[in-house]
Amino acid sequence: MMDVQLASLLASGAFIIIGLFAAIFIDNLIKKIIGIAFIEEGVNLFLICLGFKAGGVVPILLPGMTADWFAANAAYPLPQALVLTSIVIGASTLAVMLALAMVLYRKHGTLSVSEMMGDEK
Amino acid sequence: MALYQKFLESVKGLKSSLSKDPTTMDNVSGAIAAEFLIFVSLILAALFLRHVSVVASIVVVLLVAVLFFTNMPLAGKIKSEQSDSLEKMTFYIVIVLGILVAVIYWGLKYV
Amino acid sequence: MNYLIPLMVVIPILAALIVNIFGGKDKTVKAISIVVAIAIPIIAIIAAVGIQYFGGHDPALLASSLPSNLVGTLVASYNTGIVYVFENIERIFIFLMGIVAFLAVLTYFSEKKEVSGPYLYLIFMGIASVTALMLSNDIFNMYVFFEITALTQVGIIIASSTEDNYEIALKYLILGAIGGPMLLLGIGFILGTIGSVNINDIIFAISNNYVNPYAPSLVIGFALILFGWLYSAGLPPFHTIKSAVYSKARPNGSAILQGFSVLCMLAFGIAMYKIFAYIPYFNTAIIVFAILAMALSIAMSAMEVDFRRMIAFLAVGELGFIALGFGIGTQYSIAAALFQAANEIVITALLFIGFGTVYYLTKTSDTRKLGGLIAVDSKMAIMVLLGGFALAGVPPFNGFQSKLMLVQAALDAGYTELAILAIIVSVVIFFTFVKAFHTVYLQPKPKDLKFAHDKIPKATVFSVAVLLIICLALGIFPNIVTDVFIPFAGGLI
Repeated sequence: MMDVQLASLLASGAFIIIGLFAAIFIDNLIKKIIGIAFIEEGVNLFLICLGFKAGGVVPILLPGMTADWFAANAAYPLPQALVLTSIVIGASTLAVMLALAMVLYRKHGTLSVSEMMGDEK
Repeated sequence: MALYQKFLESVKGLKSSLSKDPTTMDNVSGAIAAEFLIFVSLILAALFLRHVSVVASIVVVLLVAVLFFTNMPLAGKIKSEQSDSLEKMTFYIVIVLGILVAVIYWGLKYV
Repeated sequence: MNYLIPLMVVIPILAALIVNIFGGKDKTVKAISIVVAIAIPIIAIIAAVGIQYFGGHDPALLASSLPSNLVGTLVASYNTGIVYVFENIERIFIFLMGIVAFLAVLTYFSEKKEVSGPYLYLIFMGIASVTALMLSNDIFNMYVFFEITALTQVGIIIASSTEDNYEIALKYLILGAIGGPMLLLGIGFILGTIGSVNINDIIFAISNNYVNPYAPSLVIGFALILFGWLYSAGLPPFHTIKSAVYSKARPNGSAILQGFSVLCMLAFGIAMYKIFAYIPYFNTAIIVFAILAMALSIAMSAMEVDFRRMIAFLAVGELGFIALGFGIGTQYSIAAALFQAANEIVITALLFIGFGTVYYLTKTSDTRKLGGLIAVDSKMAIMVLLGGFALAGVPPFNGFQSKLMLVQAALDAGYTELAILAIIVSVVIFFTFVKAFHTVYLQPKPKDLKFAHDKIPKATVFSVAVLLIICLALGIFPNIVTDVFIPFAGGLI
């Protein structure tokens, strides 16, 4: 069986590459935005699996734990705190992007990026 | 009269949409300046290589000079490559990302 | 405890929320905005130099209460909270940004009858986030505020109601969604290698050999952060989108956007320099992008016929000079880069607002349709001309001082070709600017040129005059800022 951390790292790499591929090659705006969300989620997954510790405990100091035992066994809490912020940022970027997609769809009547942006030249 | 005015305006609009090409008379001085700037900066950038390797610098300077003179009006090509087209921008951005990661990662392995 | 340091970020955020709430009431919004916009530079001036440990996590105090198996390890010296450092260099840049923001807000009020609350919200939010970006000593915190800055930049374009602004905003978001996560990924690689995102901790771990400085994860982290830096600054390959962004905002918005970009570039540039300067060919990598930025952007601006886009490309090309100073990497050249950055914030704000009056008067930015505007307001024309001189580096303006410093630094460091390139690029900037000035102001007025407004508002003239005075003051007394920059640059190396 594969190590959980390694599997998550591979998955995050796959997410980023699939997302980049979609963001570059797909012409449909909504699909492009989904690809971009993939990139963001891939990076978040990468960050969160940095704090993984096999057999570790939740990084909350409960009564009965000594500081030394806690320091040796708790998972690393910093990436979890960072990912929370990064998810919020990703969500707000996504919201702005989708709002713009709506406005542009009303204006041009199409979701094709190349038609919308007049990229023929 | 009003119809004639309309016609005149449409012709003017057509003319301005046609003259986006930098080699028309509108902005020929700018295109020439850009051409010289690109040439000079290419040569100087090639000369900058002398801090890495003198031989490479000489070869690249000669190569740049030859390539430049065989593809002379370079400014227009560079302008058309840097249009606001999303596809072109994404292409260059991803290319630069790939080159940066590859060169820095494998380059530093053998320093 | 120095409460003014966090207040520099808190006050603009509060102001942003308040102006948004009072959206409909023009007078209240105007009063609040003006007061806050004046308050920001004043706080930057009076705040004492200091360090702010958020949550009171002073590492020196925590060290005594550590578990026994951590005492004396790398982790014991780590900062456990976000740290803001406020020194004289931050003071200068926050002050200049505050002044530019104040003048831009003033210009906005004079040119628009009804005030948009969300637009002011975006401006203040952006100011808060670039201030935090400058102060923060924590790369993840910098990333967060950088993303907020990018979003506010997009918002400012959307709120500008110019032609095709939604398309450009979406393009910027899509490209940013490639650049931003890559920056975060780079930070993630560093976090994974070292276990901290505080810049001082990272430097401590690398310089004391707790980690292998050439570990693949660190090196990839460097590559990705360098890429993120290109995105934050708008250096190639992001120069086309950045210039499009500047040209799609309102003139006062462009002035602010440009200031944001310069501060993002500086904050990440300094952080990158502190952490990664040991990597071989670090300087070469930066110089390559600096040359590309200068050559491509200035060549594009020379070929441009839309004057707003032209100024935008000139602004992006000037960023190349800053990058060049960082790339040469001597004490004097980094000081020159910082000086150039300070000048750039002021000069390009002047040009965006000054040339923006042409758009305000005629509602066109195509130089082929313009002419003879010197008859409308000759004072503004002369001030714009002087601003262009400052941009190109004509004495006695500040641009001359910083470019002279940069060229001298390049010569001292043995990079003769870079000194020549810097001079040639300055010459082309001068040419481009004078050509635009001639076509807009001096050549005969076309018959079919229509005016949307007859007069330039007084507040706009005042703003441009203030910016010009700052340019002149920094040009005649460069010691005001260089006395701060040179020791700071010495500390970086």
